[in-house]
Amino acid sequence: MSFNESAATLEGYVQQNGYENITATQPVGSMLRDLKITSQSSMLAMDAHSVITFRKGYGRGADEGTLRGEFERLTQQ
Amino acid sequence: MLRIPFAVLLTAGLVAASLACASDEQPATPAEPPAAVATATAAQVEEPTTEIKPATGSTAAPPTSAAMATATEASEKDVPAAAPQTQVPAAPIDAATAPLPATAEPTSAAVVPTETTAPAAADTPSPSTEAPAAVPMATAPRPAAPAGTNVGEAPPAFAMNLVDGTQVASADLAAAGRPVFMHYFATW
Repeated sequence: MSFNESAATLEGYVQQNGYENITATQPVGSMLRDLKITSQSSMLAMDAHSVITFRKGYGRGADEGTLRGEFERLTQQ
Repeated sequence: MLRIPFAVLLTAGLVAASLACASDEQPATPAEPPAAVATATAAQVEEPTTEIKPATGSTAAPPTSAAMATATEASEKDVPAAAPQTQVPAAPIDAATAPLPATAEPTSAAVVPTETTAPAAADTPSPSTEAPAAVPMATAPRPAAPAGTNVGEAPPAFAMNLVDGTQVASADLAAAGRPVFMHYFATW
């Protein structure tokens, strides 16, 4: 994937690899404001109880390794 | 103007990806547990299957029922250890097996070897059918988290339109009972 590829390209990649990721293109209502998504790229993780366990944005200096660590932690629960 | 696509990454997808990598080593486990169960490391999943077949295929299989794929190695080691013994050291065996998941029969772990020695043949088909049983990740109730958008808080309800034109809501994601990863990014 590169930066100039569309969401449709991403969706095709997901389908091709059999992933269950959901690719969305438009928020409904005030989703961005409600979740306080102010920069891209932002990431947000919720556990199985729908409680936020992680939120970061690259624009604020987060590193992907942190998200990966959170991913590992949640999936081991 | 920026067009902002959103990608919601369900863990099942990524776990499935990791399983696909692990499946190179054991291609003969397609019917293994769905994503939730598969979160147990591939090493743990492999060991029960290998132990079931060669070592006491008829006796050791039932105790490793799919009750939990998270059954630890310790529990499996206890099973063969308890098999030769009848039930004399019942207390230590129970203590060792106490931390097992034990959904319905906590003490059955010590009893399992005795049961399996008698109806060995009858239990052989059960492991294959029980193995794929799904174990939901979120089973125990948790106190409600305060509403908010910070870590440790429950986010407000939200919804988004997918590429295929359908719509998914946060309630739909929560109903799956699995962790949800969302990645917001833009393309231009």
